[in-house]
Order: sequence, then structure tokens, then C-alpha cells
Amino acid sequence: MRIRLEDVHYAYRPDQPALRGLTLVIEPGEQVALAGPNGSGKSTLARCLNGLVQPQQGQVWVGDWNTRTQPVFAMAQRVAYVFQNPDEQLCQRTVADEVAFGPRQLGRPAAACQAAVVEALHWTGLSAQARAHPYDLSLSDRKLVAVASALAMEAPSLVLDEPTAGLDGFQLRRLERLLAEQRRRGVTVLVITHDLDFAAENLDRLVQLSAGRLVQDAPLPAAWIAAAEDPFAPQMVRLAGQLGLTGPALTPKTLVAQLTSEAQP
Amino acid sequence: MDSGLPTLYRPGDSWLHRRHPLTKLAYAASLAVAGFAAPWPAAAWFLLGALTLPLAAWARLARPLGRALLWSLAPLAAALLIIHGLFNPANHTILASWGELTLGQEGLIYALATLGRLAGALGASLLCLYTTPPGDLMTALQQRGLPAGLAYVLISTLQLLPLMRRRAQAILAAQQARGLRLEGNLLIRARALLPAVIPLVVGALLDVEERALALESRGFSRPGPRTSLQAVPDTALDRSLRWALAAGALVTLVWRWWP
Amino acid sequence: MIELEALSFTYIGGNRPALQAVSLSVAAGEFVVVLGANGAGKTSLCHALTGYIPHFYRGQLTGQARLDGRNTQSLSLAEIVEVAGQVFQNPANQISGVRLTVSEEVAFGLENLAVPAAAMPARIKAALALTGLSALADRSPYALSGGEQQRLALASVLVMQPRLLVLDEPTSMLDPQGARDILLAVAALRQTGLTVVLAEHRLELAAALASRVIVLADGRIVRDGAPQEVLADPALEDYGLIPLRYTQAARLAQARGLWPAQAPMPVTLESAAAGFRRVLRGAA
Repeated sequence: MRIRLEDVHYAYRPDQPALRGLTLVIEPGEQVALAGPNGSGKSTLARCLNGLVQPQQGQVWVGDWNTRTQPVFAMAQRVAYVFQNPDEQLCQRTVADEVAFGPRQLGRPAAACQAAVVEALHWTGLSAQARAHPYDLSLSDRKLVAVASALAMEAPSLVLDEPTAGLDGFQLRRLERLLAEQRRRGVTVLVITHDLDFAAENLDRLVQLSAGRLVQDAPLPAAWIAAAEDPFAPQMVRLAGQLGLTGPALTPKTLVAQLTSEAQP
Repeated sequence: MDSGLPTLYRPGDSWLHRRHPLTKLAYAASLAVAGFAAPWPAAAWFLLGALTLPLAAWARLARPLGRALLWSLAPLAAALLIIHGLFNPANHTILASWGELTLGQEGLIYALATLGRLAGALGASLLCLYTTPPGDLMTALQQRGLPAGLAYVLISTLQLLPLMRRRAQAILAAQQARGLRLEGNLLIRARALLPAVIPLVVGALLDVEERALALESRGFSRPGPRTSLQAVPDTALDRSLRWALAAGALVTLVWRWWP
Repeated sequence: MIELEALSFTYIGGNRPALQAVSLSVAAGEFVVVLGANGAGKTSLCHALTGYIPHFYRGQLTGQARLDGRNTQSLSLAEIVEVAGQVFQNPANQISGVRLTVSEEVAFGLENLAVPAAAMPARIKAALALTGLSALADRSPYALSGGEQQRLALASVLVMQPRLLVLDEPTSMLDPQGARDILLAVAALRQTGLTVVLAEHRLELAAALASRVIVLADGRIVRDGAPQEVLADPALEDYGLIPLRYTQAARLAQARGLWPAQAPMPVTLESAAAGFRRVLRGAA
């Protein structure tokens, strides 16, 4: 599903503009990282996609739906949104019911819901916890329950707000595999993230905001060439910068490949 | 990111601000008692108009106080007036009628009296909170022997209500984003209740545990007296006022039960 | 400073022990980073060091935890708090909610300790300076960013002058700038002789600060040593840790014969850059 933001302006208060003339197109099946300092408008932009934020100026299109014409609960058919804090949504007695909440609200038939739940639990590694009470799980597992809950909605696009925060190595790898599976299914994905190592290794494109404006929109790896001095750039980008490598180096593998070609001209 | 949450306290240097926290608390308590106890239906309104509002005006807080009272009591006022005006069994004197429905004077008076008592108690309490920093209130209560834990629970609830409200909004947004409908017929709204309320309650409980841990880390459960960064001075004037207020409340109680 | 002897703990209602026969000795002034997958016992270890286990969290406890030579079971939490302070993961939940300004919030702990009012302003000022919050002294705690709130939590604990500081995943909920700010503030404390135990997921910054790294898995200590050795261990990924990309790159280069077989694996940007520059020079 193609997502289009056209010259979107939004301010929470007259003196607090959050988005200033933002224009962005995300093609179907792309996986985009949305980065920027706190207050740059990332959450506001993401919330435009399911209508939680209605632009004061400009349009937002998800496929052929304009977000002005659909209520938020209807936009959920096309955009599955995972918020940063899972405790803002967990409301069922078992993990399985929680994951089924989304598809049930969307009116999917029971058998389809069940199948979607099983799949979602599999990809988030929570199959063994299906009967557990969500609030008995650790915070990081609750985050994954929220992700599973969105996956089960089987929407054509998926928004994840800081999904990596607090996850350990095992959980990050599950997230990586889950994203790869979504890529295979052609789901359009937007990930708000501060974890640029993760973005560099798993996503296609970097959109960077600052003070409500788009300051960079480029496919990874081209996005990082200028940023080698940035202390918050991905580890491999900084290392490549230190070594004076010119080619793209976002992962250990590509860095070593670069070195191999430079060491054996 | 956070623009700060609205607190009830409004800084200022009025006479009222300078009074001891317990004096203001005593004011709220005695006005509530007097309003409920006095046998005269309009007593509470009288106290609100003759004491609380002028005091608020003197502290330059009349407008926020008036607004707060209107906002919080308007729906209740409408309900009370309608219900008692139309259905109170003590209605004998008919003021107006529309077919089967009749508006009775006794019911209206009862509703107005109840409303007055609520407004009086609420107004005096708000005035107390508007002019007293929560820390000072807590210190004053602890100095009088209230257990620190209880004082904390009372005072922190006030600060945390705006936090709860913000969280409630976030919860509604998250659930709508999962397809939950909030608007519609009664059945739809009823179904939306649990998914809206459960995260709020459980979230609050989880927070309580984390906050308790943090409080321990600040030595909160240490027994013995505490010191205070800001001195909270108690004057002779304050003491006299508290005696006067207690006496006034006592008088209304006696007045009520005098045969 | 800290002595844990075969400490085991199972929470009430827990089906497996959170800590299993943990023995640990930390000298005063050490900066220990504790790593481990979620559920491996990092938080439980932090709680055991500051007496929350067993005083706040009840359960089955065997073995001993000694703080400054005294058994934590025989001290009260209030007594322990004068020696050891803890900073937690969620910045907003560490704000008391009963103080209007940052200064007053920092004073809260001093008030509970019955420090004389006259002595408070100087200590508050010092704590704010240590955490870079001096300019925000009159701000409402709720008007601060997450990173600033976390530094406020740190200042609120430091003002009480503890000798042990425990931080349980303080950066998990922070953006990179906030994470950096708080870890640098903690780093600056090393000179003061403060003993620091930091549980973390973000390896890069922690690696630069630690004098010692401990890895937990299933409630047991599985690694304990200098950052150079522990962080370069390839088995760390099997314990659920997030790998340092520098080390991964060096290992890959080693597999290709580019990085010398005997050369140590890098755990920081500087050592990785130095090592790879040698690789490039050597090949030239």
C-alpha cells in the first residue's frame, strides 16, 4: 500500500508546530526508518498515517483512502500501529486474547482470527505464553505482545514506535526475522527508531526529521555517507569514517567486504 | 517534549498564600461542615459568596476558581435540578408544568441547596490547594503527626490526576488504532469501557510499585522526624483563625441540632 | 564493598529461581557493568545489592549479601539507603509527585534523612552540578525531557551521598542523547571513589566506562572479568547479548585471514579503527 503525505502542517498549539510542510511518499512494501531528535515530529508524522493526527494543512493518503474521510478505527484496517508503551493497550486476560483483540475489532471471522493469532505468536516467539496473563510478562515481552497484536491485524501497512527499546539480543533477532517476513509479504513498514545500528541492518530507507521538517530522505546506505562524524551514527558507519572508506558500510559484513576489496585491489 | 503538567497550585504572594497550610485546610473543612450542617438552605451559597469568592478575589484567583467550579459542577447541576425539580416526592408547590411533567419548588430548592453545599466545599478546598504548595501541605501535616505515607498518598494523588488524564487519552488512541469503536450506540460504548479502563487501572498499579521502589531509595520509610527545605511558618494569626473557624463550624452544628 | 555469597532467590509465586548461587565480590571504587538477556537476573541482582531483596520483595532467600561488611538481611531498608542508592529504568516513575521544582525534588531525600535545612542548599547545588541540571533548578520535574528526568533521579540519589550506586537499565527508555548524558554523568563519578554497578543493554557506552563486566544467564554469573576479555567473547550472543558490531567485524575479518589470529578483538571504536588501519597498512 502506497502511503503519501502531501505538504502536511500540524501544530499541537499555535506556538508549537510539529510538522512543517512535510511531503513524503512510501512505496508499497518499503521498510522505512524514521529518525530524528526528540521533538522533531516523528510521532506526529506516524500518527498522521492512521488519522490520530489530522493535518491542519495538507493531505495524507493510505492507498486510496484519505485520512480525513475515515475515522481512526476504520484506518486500522490499513494501518496497524504499535505504540511505544504496551501498557497503554493490554486489556485482555490472556496473551492469545490480547493478540486476537485487533482482528476481532476489525470484524475478521473467528477462524481467520485464530490463524492470525497463531502466526503472530510464532513470529514474536510468544507461542509458549499464549495462555499467560499479559501483565505477568516482563516489559520487553509485553512489547512483543503489542507487536504480535498488530501483526495479527494483517494490515497492508505497519507502524512501529521504538520497537527495539529495552529488547535483548534474542528479542532483537526475533524482530529482525519478523520484519523480514513482513517484507516477504509486501507489507509497508515504518519504524520510528533511535537504534540506527538496527535500522542500518534491517531497513531500506532513512527519513530524518528535524524541527518538523524533512532533512534527509535517502535509501540506506547512501544516507550515511555524510554522517560518519555523528556520534549517534551506526557503529559501522563511524568505523568506516575513521578508516576513510568511501563505499557503503552498514553492517560488519559489508564493511569487511569493502576492506577485502581495498586490501586486494 | 513534556510541556509540564498543570498543577493545582498557583504561585503568588497574597495574604492567603502566606497563611499556614493547616489554616487553609481548616477553612475548607469548616466551610464544608458549616455548609452541610446549617439548617438554612442557602447557607452554603452565602458562605461561598461572602467568604470564599471574596478571599479568592483578594488572592487574584477568583476567575480560575469560578471557572473550575463551573466546569466541574455544571453537568451535576443540570442533573440535580432536573431530577429533583421534576421528581422529588416532596414537590407540592407547582411552578410550571408540561403535560405530565411538573416542576416543583421544593425539589428545586433541595437541588439548589445540595448544589450549594457541594460548591461551597469544593470551592473552599480548591482555594486551599490553589494557594498551598503540595510540599508545604505535606510538611505541615507531617509536623502535626500524620504518618508520612498517608500524607504522601493524599498529596501525590492531586499531582498525579493530570498524569492519569493524559494516560487515559493515550490509551484511547491506542485502542482506537486497533479498531475499537468509541462512538455509536450504547452497546458499542459499553464494549469500549473495559479496553479503556483496564490499562488505566493496571498501569496505575504498576506505576505505584515502581514509585514505591523509588521512594524507598529516597529514604521515605525512614522512621523519625523529618526536616524541611522550606520553613512553613505558623503565626499567632493562623492559630487564632483556626480556633475561630473551628468555633464557627461548631456553632453551625449546635444550631442544627438545637431543639 | 559488596560481598555476595552463594546467593539464591526465588520470588514468591515464581517457578524458577531468579538468582542461583551467585557469588560476587566488588571492591570499593569499582565500576561494574552487568549484562544479560531479559529475565537473566540483572534486576534481581540490583535489588539484592540494595536490599530490596529481601526487604521489599519477599521470597526464598539462601546465602548472604553483605554491604560494607554488614548482612543486608539484618539491616533495615532505611539504613541501607544511607549507604546504597538505586536509579531505575523509568524516569517518570522516580519523580515523587509532591514537589514543584527540581531543587525541591532533590531535597526530598535530604528531608527524609533529617538533614538540617541549613546544610541542604549546598548539597543540592552540588548534586545538580554533578548531573548538569543547575540551569533547570526551578523547573517543574514534569517539564523535563526523559533524559533530564533520569538525571534528576540520579541527582536525587547522589545528594544523599551513597557509597554504592546501582543503576538498573537507566537508558532503556531514553533516546541516545539522554542515554549519553546520564552515562557521562555517572562516568564522572568514578573519580569520587563511588562504587558503581550498572545493568545495561547498550554495550558501546558501557564498555567504555567499565572496569569490570559480569554476564548473567538464568540467574547465574557466567562471565566475570575485564571488558577486553568478556566483551570480545563470541559466546555472548548465545547468552542473548546485543553484539558489538566492531567485534563482529573484526571476527569476520579474522575468518577471512585479514585480522591477525592472535590479535585481541576490539570492543571500542578506537581499538577497532586502530586494528583495521593496521590491516589496511599490512595489506598494502
